[in-house]
Amino acid sequence: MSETPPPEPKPAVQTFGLTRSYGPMLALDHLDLTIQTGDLFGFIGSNGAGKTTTLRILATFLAPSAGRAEIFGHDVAKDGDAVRRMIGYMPDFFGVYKDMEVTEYLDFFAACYKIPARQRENTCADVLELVGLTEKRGALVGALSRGMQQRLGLARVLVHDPKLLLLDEPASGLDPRARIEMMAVLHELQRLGKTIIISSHILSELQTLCNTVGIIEKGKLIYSGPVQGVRDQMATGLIYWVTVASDAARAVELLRARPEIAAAEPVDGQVKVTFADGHRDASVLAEALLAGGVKLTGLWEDELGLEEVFLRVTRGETQ
Amino acid sequence: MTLLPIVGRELRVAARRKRTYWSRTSAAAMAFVVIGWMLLTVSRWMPPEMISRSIFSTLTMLLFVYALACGAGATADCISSEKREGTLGLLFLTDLKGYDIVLGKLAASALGNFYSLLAALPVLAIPLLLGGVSVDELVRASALLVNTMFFSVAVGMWASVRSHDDRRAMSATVGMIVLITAVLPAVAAIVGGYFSGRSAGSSSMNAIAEALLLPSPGFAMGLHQSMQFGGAKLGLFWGSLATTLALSLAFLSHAAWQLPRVWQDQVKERSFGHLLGNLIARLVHAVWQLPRAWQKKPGQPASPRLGDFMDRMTYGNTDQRKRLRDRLLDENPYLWLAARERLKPVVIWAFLANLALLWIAGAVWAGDWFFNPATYVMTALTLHSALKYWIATEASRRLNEDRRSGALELVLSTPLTVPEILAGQLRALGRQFARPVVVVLLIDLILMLAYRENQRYDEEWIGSWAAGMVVFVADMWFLAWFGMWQGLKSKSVHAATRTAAGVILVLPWVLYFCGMTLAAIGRAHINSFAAACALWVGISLTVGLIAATMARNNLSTRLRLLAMERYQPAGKSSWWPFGRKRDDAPPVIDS
Ligand SMILES: Nc1ncnc2c1ncn2[C@@H]1O[C@H](COP(=O)(O)OP(=O)(O)OP(=O)(O)O)[C@@H](O)[C@H]1O
Ligand SMILES: [Mg+2]
Repeated sequence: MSETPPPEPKPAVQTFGLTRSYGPMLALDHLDLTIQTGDLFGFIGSNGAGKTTTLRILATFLAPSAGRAEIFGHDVAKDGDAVRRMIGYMPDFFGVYKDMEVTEYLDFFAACYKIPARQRENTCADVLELVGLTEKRGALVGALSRGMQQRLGLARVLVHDPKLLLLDEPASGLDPRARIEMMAVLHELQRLGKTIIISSHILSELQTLCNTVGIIEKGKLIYSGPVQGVRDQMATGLIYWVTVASDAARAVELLRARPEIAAAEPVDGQVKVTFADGHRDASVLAEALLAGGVKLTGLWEDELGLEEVFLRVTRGETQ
Repeated sequence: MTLLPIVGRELRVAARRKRTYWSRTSAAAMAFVVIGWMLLTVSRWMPPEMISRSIFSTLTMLLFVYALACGAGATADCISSEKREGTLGLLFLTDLKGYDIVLGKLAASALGNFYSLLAALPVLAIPLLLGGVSVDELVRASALLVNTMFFSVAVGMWASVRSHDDRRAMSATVGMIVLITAVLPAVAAIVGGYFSGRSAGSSSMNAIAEALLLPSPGFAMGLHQSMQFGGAKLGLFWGSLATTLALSLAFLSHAAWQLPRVWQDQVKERSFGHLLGNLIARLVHAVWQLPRAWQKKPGQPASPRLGDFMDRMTYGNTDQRKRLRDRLLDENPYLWLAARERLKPVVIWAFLANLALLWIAGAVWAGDWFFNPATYVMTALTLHSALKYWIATEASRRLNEDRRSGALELVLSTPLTVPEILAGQLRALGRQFARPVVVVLLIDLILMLAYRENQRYDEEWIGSWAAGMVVFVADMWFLAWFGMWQGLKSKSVHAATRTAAGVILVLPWVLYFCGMTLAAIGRAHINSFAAACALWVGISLTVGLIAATMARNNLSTRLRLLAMERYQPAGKSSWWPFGRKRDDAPPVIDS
């Protein structure tokens, strides 16, 4: 994307031509990504698109082959220690210490973040509360269900109160209720001023959760910006549904005659109208029908979900 | 559809593997070296017939020990590791049968060792050419060795099917092999009055003794070695081999029969799975339960299960856990992580106590005859090797398990630094081993002084003990570092331990023998005992120092890299234990 640098002082995440190859294969291809502080950023892409690779680079786990990435102004490759203190990274698959108690597990990681002992107890209780695991505090980690382990993983990420959360498919393995609850937690965290990057396959949720999204395909960023903008920018051809009082066939005829309209077809007694690229003025419809003497009884824009946009702009090819 | 599909596949894979080729070649080469060494060193004061005889028995003995060790080395962890990774179930989702998998795994893990043995057998025939050894003897030795190896890997397989934890599998294997090979014959000896000088007991006693003796490969080995002096126990020898073979087949069939029944086990075994410890724990648990059992009123909750009890034993109750955490976490979180199994040091003490009991039993049973230098040296050797091997496993365990599970990655995403991790692990090892090492050194000292009263080889005696003690302490240190490194880069704790033991413990001996051989060829005989001793210490320390330094450098610079590049494709095949990860053969599962 060739966007002008934002006015804010320091974006939470910024990458410059970030590239990573595995042997001959380019997993990331000159990725330029900017995420503002306080954003809840949804990272979308088909399997193998490069989401995990990006997040691992941001989490200082992988070195980029070319380009660089900055987190709050710190270079991830050069200033790993500082970066690690600011981020909470939850990998897509992570190991747990099965024979630890839940509190022990959190206590240990809190200690790794050098949180003093007196503070640790409260912190652990707080984060357990936040993810709804308080009842399981004394259980062995290995005895938790997959979803609970996932929640524990989220709790672990939060113990040191990081400014930036990198969550790689955190909702996988969660039941619908837990997913909704997790989304609520993430909302709350965003409200507290945290920047969150979340990669997920469940797009309908990202749509309501995130304020910005990025779509990546074969290692290239094909969209990055506000959720609402995706549709406007990515969708080719806006769709409207029209109902008329009398003859639907006549209405189709009238609409097809207009140059702004690419297609019109009757579907179940309604008319589906697709605008040609670049046209988005719905008054054209009313005008055309009125002129032809057909009474317009209903007109609404098709809600193009993130999923449909995603399907349109990606081909689902894996590399 | 071919019969036994996995076996076929494993044979093909093994034939292509570089390692098979190497192990075969090196086995034969080692045998040659032994022969060469014996020819060069003892040839001046022995008639050729004697030489060929002693070469033959030495080689047979070495190969026998190798064959026995194969069970623990090759098969003991082959099924249990798949259980831990949860891949065993996948095999059963196909229509493979229990015996398919057992035989397939057997081929996969023991074939290399079998080839090595086969490669060494022709070398065993060289004494035949020198005279003094008959073809019959060669045939008997070969049969004995192959049979012994089969026995040992069968026991390993059997133990592996029954275990989940690798330590448990290993100790069960070693325990069972030692039991059948050595302990039962020893009991038989006592029952039958073989050693005590009494005349043989009643015939029923003799029958019992025989039943205990026959399955033992050790017994067959003893017969084989004594037959050269013309004993007419041929029937007994072949009978013993047949019994051992039957027993091996029984172990394998039992394993194959059990396998489909155990793969579903959801039992969360604690990582501490030592057979002995478990046994003791069961006893203690039973005793602990006794006063509670009769007090129990109906309606009271059931008594705690053994699993919970073991947990409590291993980690302590919630309060004790908290206290340990408070003490260690702030100091170094990784120290706590590596040291939190409080039973670990206890197991070492239990082991030492067991040895002490055995020793006392031996002393009481054998009387004065027991107190001789050979016993002392054997005692020290056992103690030293056990602790060395032990520290190699412990050093590699944490890093290996955590790297494979991905937990190490999480730790590394925190500001905890690599030097802190290494320091924590080292200190945990120190907590576990420092005191036992001091105790063993004290025992060494006592044993060394115990024989001094008899005068004579005073200096050599003291010198060799000093050498042993120095190398012992140094090796513990080297193994800690090298073990950590191997743990990080190896496929399993088992493989890590094997490499660590190979480099730090075995390699110096090989180099020492080579050095002595070269010296002998060059006619620069190392005649003085002191010189030979110094050579050995020098080689041991040099090898260890180099290995430990390399390990240390690698750990400091590449720990992060290795732990994080989790889907790193395996590097080029390499036999070099210091560099990249070895390209191990694909496991059976991923076909
Ligand atoms: N260690 C590796 N070696 C070789 N190729 C790799 C490695 N790790 C990732 N890749 C490749 O890089 C590409 C991007 O992988 P990545 O894991 O980032 O995808 P992803 O977007 O997270 O996919 P998913 O949605 O399936 O998690 C893939 O084509 C993958 O095959
Ligand atoms: Mg991914």
